[in-house]
Amino acid sequence: MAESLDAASEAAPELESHFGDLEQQTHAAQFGMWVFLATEVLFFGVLFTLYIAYRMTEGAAFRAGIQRTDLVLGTANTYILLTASLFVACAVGAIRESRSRLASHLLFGAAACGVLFVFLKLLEYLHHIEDGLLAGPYYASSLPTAGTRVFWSLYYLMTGLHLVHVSAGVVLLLWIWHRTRRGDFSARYHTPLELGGMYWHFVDIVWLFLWPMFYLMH
Amino acid sequence: MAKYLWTYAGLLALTTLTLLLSFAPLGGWEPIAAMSIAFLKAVLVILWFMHLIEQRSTNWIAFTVSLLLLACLIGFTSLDVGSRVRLVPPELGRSGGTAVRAPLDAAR
Repeated sequence: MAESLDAASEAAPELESHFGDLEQQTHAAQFGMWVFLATEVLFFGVLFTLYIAYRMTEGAAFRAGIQRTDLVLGTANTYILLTASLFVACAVGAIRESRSRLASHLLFGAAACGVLFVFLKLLEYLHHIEDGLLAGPYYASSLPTAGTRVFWSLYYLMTGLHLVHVSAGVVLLLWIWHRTRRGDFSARYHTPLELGGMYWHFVDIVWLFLWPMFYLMH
Repeated sequence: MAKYLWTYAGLLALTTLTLLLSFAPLGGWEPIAAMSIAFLKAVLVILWFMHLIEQRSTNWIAFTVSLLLLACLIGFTSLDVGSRVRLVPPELGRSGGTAVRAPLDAAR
C-alpha cells in the first residue's frame, strides 16, 4: 500500500497523499473554493441588504448621492474589470492547451488591469475628498441630511471592501503569474491558477452589482 | 478560447445596454432593469469564465445555496422595511398625524 502511494506521488508530485488521484484532488479543491465564495456572497450580501433597506426609505437621498459619483471613472472601471476577467479566463484556456507562455502574459495583463482599477478608484476617492465628502464627521457640513450621509457611508464601506478584494486579487494574480512563468503549471495540473481565477471573477461579479447601485440608478 | 471571447462580447453588450438604459426615463423600473442585467452578467461569468457549467453538481449546490440564503435575507428584509410605518405626531407631521413611511430626517 505504502509503496503504491509512493509510486503515485512520484508520478504526480502535486498529489497529496490523502487523495486517490489528481482528478479527485482537483474536484475537492474546486468544491472548497465554491464554498469559500459562498461565504463571500453572504459577507457582501449583508451590505447589499443594508443598501436595499435604506434605498427603500431614503430613495431621494440615494438618487441625489448617485448624481455626485463619477460615472466616467466608474464605467471605465467596469470595462477594465471585465477585460481583466477575460484575460484570466483565457489564461486558464491557454494552460489547458499547455501554452504556459501565453497564460503568463495574460495573467500579467489581468494584474495590470487590476492595478489600473485600484488607481482609478483611489483617484475617485481623492475627488470626493476635494468635494468635501470625506467620511465620518468631515462630511457633516456638506451633507445636511441623514439619508445622504447613509448613502456615502455605504458607498465608502462597499466600494472600499471591494477595493481591498481587488488589491488582494492583484497580489494573487502576480503570485500565479510568477508560478506560471516558473513552469509550475501544465495542462494536467493547474489548480492554483484555476482557483485564483475563480476568486478574481467573483470580485468582478461584485463590481457588476456595485456599478449600477452607486453610479447608474438615479 | 472562442467561448471566452463570446462571453466577453455578451458582457460588453450588456454593460453598454445598462449604461444606455440609465439615461432612459424608466422611473421606478430603472433599479429593477439594472439589477436584472447585472444578474444576467453574473450568470455569464459564473457559467463560462468560472467554468461552473462543466463542473460537478456538488459545486452547483455549494454556490446556489448561498444565493438562495441571500435571496431570503434580502426578500424578508424588504418585506419588513416595505411594510413598516412610523407614527408622526400631529405637531411634527406634514400629513397631520397619519401613519406615513417617513425618511430618517422626518423623525427629527
